[in-house]
Amino acid sequence: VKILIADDEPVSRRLLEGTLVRLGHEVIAVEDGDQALAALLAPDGPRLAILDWMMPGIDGLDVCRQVRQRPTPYTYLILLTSRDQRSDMLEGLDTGADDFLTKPCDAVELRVRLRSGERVIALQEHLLEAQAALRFEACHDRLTGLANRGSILDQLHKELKRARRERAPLSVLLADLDHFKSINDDYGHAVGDKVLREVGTRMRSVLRASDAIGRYGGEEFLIVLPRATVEGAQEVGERVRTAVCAEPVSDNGLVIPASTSIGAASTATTGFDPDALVRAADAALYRAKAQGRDRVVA
Amino acid sequence: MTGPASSAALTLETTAPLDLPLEELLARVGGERELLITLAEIQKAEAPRALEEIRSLLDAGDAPRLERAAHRLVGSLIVFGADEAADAARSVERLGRDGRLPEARVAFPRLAFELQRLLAALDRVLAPTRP
Repeated sequence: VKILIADDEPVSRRLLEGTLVRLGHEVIAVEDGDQALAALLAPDGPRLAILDWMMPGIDGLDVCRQVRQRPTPYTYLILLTSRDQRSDMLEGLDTGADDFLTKPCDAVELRVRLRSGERVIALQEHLLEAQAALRFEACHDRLTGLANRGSILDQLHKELKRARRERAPLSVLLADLDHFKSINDDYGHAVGDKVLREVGTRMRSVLRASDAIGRYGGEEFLIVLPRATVEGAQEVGERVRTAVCAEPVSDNGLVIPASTSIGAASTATTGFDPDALVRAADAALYRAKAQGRDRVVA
Repeated sequence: MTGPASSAALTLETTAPLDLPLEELLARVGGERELLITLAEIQKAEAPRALEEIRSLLDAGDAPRLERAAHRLVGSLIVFGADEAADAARSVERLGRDGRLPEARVAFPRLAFELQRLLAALDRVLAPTRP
């Protein structure tokens, strides 16, 4: 574990450093509170710190206070105290310290404190990972890994607000897989799922990083193109269409041809209302289907 | 008025040498004699500087900084189990905190003397390592 030591007194600092290195830790040793704070707030800074209470510049308590203003990642903070500061421990806890060590540090006591600290950090990391996984699940489609309907519509609302503010155009594409029902009927739902996943990946691969794509319905995908005119959207739509039909989808020896019909709509004709924009794209998609599928229509 | 250190009546010649608790110190550094030597060398360099700083702060009448300087010195002294020196430094720290500078000036010679004893004891720790 990477551990920060902050102590302006060089003998104690060197003793602590030597002890921690012997225990197998990576140590960053600094001699005042300002250096400690800079190291702790740096990206990838130490997650565990042993801070002397009294230091020049900002003291250990101030370092605790300022580190606690950043909610994540959690940093476990141990304050070094002398015997006559023990009565002030509650004040230390109030500023955000997690634990205390009395000078001079006993190696066994130090190990006990560090073990607690490592446990708290590990628990917090698990919690953050679980939160991130839940956040991802809440806004992604489990099958394709793309944004789900709620999330792509949220992104559309957000981008429309920005487009209105910046007086910039915005277009959307609504893409529907051709004959998807037949794929499911002929090959089964597992193969249908595979086709959906593959098509989603192909569509994503030809978009700009600033474009957004989500699974809008069963076999429908909504693509949001910020700053794109309807002509630009048609060009992107053509790239998407070509990517989907470029080669059949293969699955365990099966070769399944895939194509998509795409409707394009732009704020130039509908204004900045999200419902009107999606409705216009849906109407264009309907025309694309009616005209024989595997095409882009605005 | 005499300077804070000039009234020292204690001398190394008339006082028993300080015996550092070597076994305890070695246990504290996990048996690493090299680390103990490093700490002793740091202390030998730092202690005179710390004492000089405390003397200047007493002369300047700066109680808050006196408290901090003495506190810092205590931190190094307790590493070596130098209890008498640590007690003397704690007295100066406490008197600095309370703003009792005349008493701190009276306490200073004892601190200076205990530091001398410690430095002599550290010399004995370092002696076998020197050529």
